[in-house]
Amino acid sequence: MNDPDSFVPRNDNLDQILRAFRRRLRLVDGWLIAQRALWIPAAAMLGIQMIGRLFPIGGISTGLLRQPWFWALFLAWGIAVMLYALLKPLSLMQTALRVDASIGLKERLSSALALRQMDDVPQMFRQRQRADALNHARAIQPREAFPIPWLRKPVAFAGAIFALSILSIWLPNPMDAIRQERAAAKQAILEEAQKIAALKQQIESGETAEELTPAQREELLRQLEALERALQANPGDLEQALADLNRLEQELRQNLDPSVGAKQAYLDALTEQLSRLSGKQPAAGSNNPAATALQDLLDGLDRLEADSASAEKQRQEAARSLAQLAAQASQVGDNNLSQALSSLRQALQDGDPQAMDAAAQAAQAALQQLKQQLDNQQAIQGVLAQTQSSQQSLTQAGRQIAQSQGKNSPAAGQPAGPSSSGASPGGASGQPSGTGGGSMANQLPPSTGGQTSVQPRGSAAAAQTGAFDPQIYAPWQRSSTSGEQLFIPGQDTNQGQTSTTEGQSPQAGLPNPALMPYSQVFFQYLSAANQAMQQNYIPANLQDYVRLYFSSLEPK
Amino acid sequence: MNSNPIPTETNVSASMDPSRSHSSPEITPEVFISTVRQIENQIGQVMVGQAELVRQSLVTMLAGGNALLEGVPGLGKTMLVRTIAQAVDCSFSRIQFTPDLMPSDIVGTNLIVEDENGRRQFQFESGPIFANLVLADEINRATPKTQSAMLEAMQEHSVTVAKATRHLPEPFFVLATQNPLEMEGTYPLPEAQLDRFFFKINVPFPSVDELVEIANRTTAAETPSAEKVADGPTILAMNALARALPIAPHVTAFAARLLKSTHPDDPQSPKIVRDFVRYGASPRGLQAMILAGKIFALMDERYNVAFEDIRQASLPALRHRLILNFEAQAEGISADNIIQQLNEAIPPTNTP
Repeated sequence: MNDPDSFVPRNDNLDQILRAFRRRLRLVDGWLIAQRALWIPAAAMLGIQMIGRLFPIGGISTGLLRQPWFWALFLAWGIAVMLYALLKPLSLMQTALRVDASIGLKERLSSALALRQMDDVPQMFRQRQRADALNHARAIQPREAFPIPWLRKPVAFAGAIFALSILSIWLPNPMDAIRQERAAAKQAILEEAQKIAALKQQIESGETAEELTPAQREELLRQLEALERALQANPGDLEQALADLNRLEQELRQNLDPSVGAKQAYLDALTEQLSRLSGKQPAAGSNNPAATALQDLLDGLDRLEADSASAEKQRQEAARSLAQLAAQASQVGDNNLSQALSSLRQALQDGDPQAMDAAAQAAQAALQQLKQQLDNQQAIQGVLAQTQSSQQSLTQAGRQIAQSQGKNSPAAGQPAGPSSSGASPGGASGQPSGTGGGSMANQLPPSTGGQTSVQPRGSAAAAQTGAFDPQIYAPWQRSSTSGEQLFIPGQDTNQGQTSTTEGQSPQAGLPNPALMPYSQVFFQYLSAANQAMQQNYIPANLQDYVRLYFSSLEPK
Repeated sequence: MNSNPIPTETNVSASMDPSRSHSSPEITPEVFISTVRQIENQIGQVMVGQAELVRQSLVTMLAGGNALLEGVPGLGKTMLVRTIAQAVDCSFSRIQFTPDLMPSDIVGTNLIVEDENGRRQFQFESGPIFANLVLADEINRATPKTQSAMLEAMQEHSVTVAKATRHLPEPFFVLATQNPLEMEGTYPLPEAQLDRFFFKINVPFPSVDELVEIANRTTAAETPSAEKVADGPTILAMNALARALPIAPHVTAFAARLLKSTHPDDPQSPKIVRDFVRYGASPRGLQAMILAGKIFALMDERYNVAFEDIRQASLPALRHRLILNFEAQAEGISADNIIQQLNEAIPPTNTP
């Protein structure tokens, strides 16, 4: 022990010395916690990599190092470590205790601090103890007493995790293919959404579907708006997009008259027959050629001499033709036109000019109404064709994605179908010719295409792709009040015929509604399955099997 | 039996009361340390090895307490006490305890004596207890009655004979010995009386080198002896100085926690205490640790008590204050085992 007189402290500020130790301890503690917690960002990085291999998350692989959030993770870790080092409670007494314990000062510093607070300490001991503590404290440099420690095990452990994470960045990620598929699917869906948007805009501007009533137009726009929104929000799920399109298609089909094709064919045949009787072709720009042809026929009959034998013959021929046309109008379901034509035939046979004028006006009105109906149906069919075209495009996009990913090979002998750009509303160049028999077979010829053609369900896709689209059974209402009225000639009624409702029986040249193209039936069933899964009718553990099942059945 | 001059009650009280002795000089810590060094050196010239025994014995003496030495015969216990007495220039007496030893044989008795005029009167004949350093050899061989008289003198530093209380000379320091062997026919000290011993010091058997040195020293022509380096008042002053040494509250708290953890019902006590301790140490154990810690600190040339001082004092201060249960005896667990584990288990501070 030294002479007490030598214990004259040069700097009696014990607090100042302890603060220097405290700063050093904070640095050492921060460094220690940084090494011990280094595994956290490493594990987070590895965890992100693992998650990126289980779920198709973008920017996980080689792009990880360019992700701001990734560096934000490290920054947050660094800030947490720094805050811990700076804000961790470390009083001077705690500092003194740690210094005492670490350097072996045998509680000199902590006792000096404690004795400073005590009043009953003999001055002799107080001074000596303080001087002793200061002498020992001054002899120690905080930097030398508390060197920066290296914790090998935690650092090595964190380094191993880091290495594994970095390595996994460049390892093949099975989710990359899925993400690419989704991106391509998303692109295809967005393209279809743009087409839907363009169609909607056309309808809004009146370029198309101007024949629709305001209510019908508003409803159609609402449906298209919902579809566009659903497609825009689609993350790349082709099945969902196809289901959305199919849902709109089903809604449109509910507004579609199944006999529109027969009516259109009948109207064409009526125009041709009236033109032949009048010997005059209707004007090329006529809005309603049938009405014009009827007017031409009536004008021609008016110009005939009353007692001329040839005139009488022409009248009889016109009356027979009108009777035949009236019967056909009844068969296609237009009773008003049938009755008007019958009245016109009767007036023509009776030679009553006033009755003829009245009947001609009624026939003109019925023809105008029929033309209006056909125009409405044509507008709906235009939208319907767009939805079908979009479905086909998405199906084709899905097939191309699968082929590009090497998962699916193209079906043998199946030609590559044209892209969706080849599909146009109402386009039915590949529509099969009707070969069905029956009394109407020779009177209702198959559509020759163009705007007025009636496209059999599902035939558009087959026509566009050129692929074989098998017809399979689809449920349909056999006995419906909105079905066809069949008129059986030869029965004794006021019109010489009788009628009966047979449900939605197929017209001649039209496909049986019970048999639908596979590509359309598939999506109906898929939509029903999706709906059932959404409503939890199918147990969760079986839903994957259902999805796999439909994926395997997806039309190529 | 030592025949000291028999003082009257009055002058005995005036001259032998330790705390009342105002003649002890004021000393500084430096004097304290140098005196201890000198005493240790003198004892070291006589005693071979046994540094721990010597140090703990000195601590007990400087603390004003009494020590119980446990060891087989022939390890130099008597020589230790005698040497200390020589070094500090104090009176020394040795009492060999036997079953037929009576209390009066220790404290003394009144005898009828005739003066020059032929008048008979009672005169107190002091016992061997009237010495500064007393060696109570094999104290467990005496009957409890005699043990009790001895222990009362140790505790009170006074004896009462025939309604007259006589203070013992200061410094008063008893070193009692106990033979761990030959327990047959002995009267083990009750726990309450064990508690009165400041330290219980185990006397280890010397090593081979120490035995060689012992043989060389004790069989030579000249027997070494210690020189006087202190006196009784100095010892008392050293005691007072040691008591005045301040101790930081967190060190005291550590000693208290250490003592509290010897109690099996304490929630902080480790498993070994809960399993093998029947009763923990009394507060006297804490006092002994604190006071011994102060003396250890001064001996280490420090003016503050360290945790290490408390730990160093804990073994001799607590080992005789723990009452172990039957399981501990059956499994060979000693109090020293438990205290050592406590020293490792109890953190110095509650703060991290």
